[in-house]
Amino acid sequence: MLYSRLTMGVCFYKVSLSTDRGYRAMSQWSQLMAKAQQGDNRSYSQLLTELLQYLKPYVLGKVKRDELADDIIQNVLLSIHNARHTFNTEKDFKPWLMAIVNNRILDYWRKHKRKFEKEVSIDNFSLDGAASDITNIELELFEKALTHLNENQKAIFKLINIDGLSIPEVAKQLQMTESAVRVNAHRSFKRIQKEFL
Amino acid sequence: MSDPNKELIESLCKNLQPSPKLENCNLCWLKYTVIFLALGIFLAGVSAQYLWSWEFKSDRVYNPNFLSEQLLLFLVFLTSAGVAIKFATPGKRNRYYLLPILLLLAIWTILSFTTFDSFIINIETAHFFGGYQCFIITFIASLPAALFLSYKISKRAALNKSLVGFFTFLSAASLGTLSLQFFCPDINIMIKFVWHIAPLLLLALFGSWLGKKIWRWDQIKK
Repeated sequence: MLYSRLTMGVCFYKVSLSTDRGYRAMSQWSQLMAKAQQGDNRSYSQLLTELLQYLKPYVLGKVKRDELADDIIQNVLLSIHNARHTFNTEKDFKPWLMAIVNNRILDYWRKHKRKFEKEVSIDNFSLDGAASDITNIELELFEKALTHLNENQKAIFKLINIDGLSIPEVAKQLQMTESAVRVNAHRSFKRIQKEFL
Repeated sequence: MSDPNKELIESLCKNLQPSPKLENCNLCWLKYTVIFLALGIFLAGVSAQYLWSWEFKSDRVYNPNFLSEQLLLFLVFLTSAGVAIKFATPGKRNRYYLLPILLLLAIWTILSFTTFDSFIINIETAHFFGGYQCFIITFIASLPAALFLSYKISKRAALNKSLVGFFTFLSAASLGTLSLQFFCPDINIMIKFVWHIAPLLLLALFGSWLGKKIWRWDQIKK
């Protein structure tokens, strides 16, 4: 009995401490946002940096995937930036923030639902032995197809398909235009496809 | 803190400008309501007169059923516009989003129990399909309100764009229907169900599709 009362007391103390800290943070964020609305860069930078630390565990807890959480957080930061004029400085900051965060998470799930359903994990995928789904003949064909690509196309194919970079990132790395990367990627795909068919 | 996030924060803070303040609307909604009600009735009257030579039906305004329907349509206009504006502002508590739908159901109920012209259920097919004229007038009369509300919402941050679009266009369409009902020569129940009330939902659904296309506040602004 005494033990349970003691634990309840400790829990209550912890909760009140955390809500107090949370309340202080919220009121501080509200002030920072008020300054940001007036064009104060420093306050805005401080606010976004603090929000980043606050949002990371929250979003990660919802989506359970690190790379997804990063994408969502970036979307949230952009949304906060575009909607900053809608925040009423006389009201609490948290409902405004959480409305944006929860909707961005929902949007992300809606947008990528099909992609996630069809996605196959490559964690258990290996190129050697009987466990592999790719036969030796297919590998030979693939290597033969690669010889038909020029150096540029090989580099683009590798960066997009093996390193997993996006087209703008590849363009930046190879110092090419995005459309040139797209054209080369398309040609290399067609060439490889032709070898297989 | 990972680098992309840091870069993003730096880029967002770089050329930060003071943000425009949201309009503090205390009684301005009343001004807009009067303007758009007058504009809707005027447009419905002009288009009804010029397209199909329909005139204002003054005797109808003494009918209690008609008046209660008009009042409910006016309330649908007000509540759905309010709900749309609230949904377009993050953090605003929006507990009344079911109110416009309940009001529509109330109109439906009044129509079902009304004795007003209810004896003409079986109408001629050609006459029935002629009801598209009502839809055209509703559309014309609702255009100013739809455009104005869409513009106002584009200045906010609609989190659920399809829902905001739904209520925006429901509001505008209810104003259009309200204006139409002063001029429509047939107040037959079947025509009312199909060509006066159903287009409200049709236009609202169109709005929910359009909302996702037109409001781009969450995209990166270059």
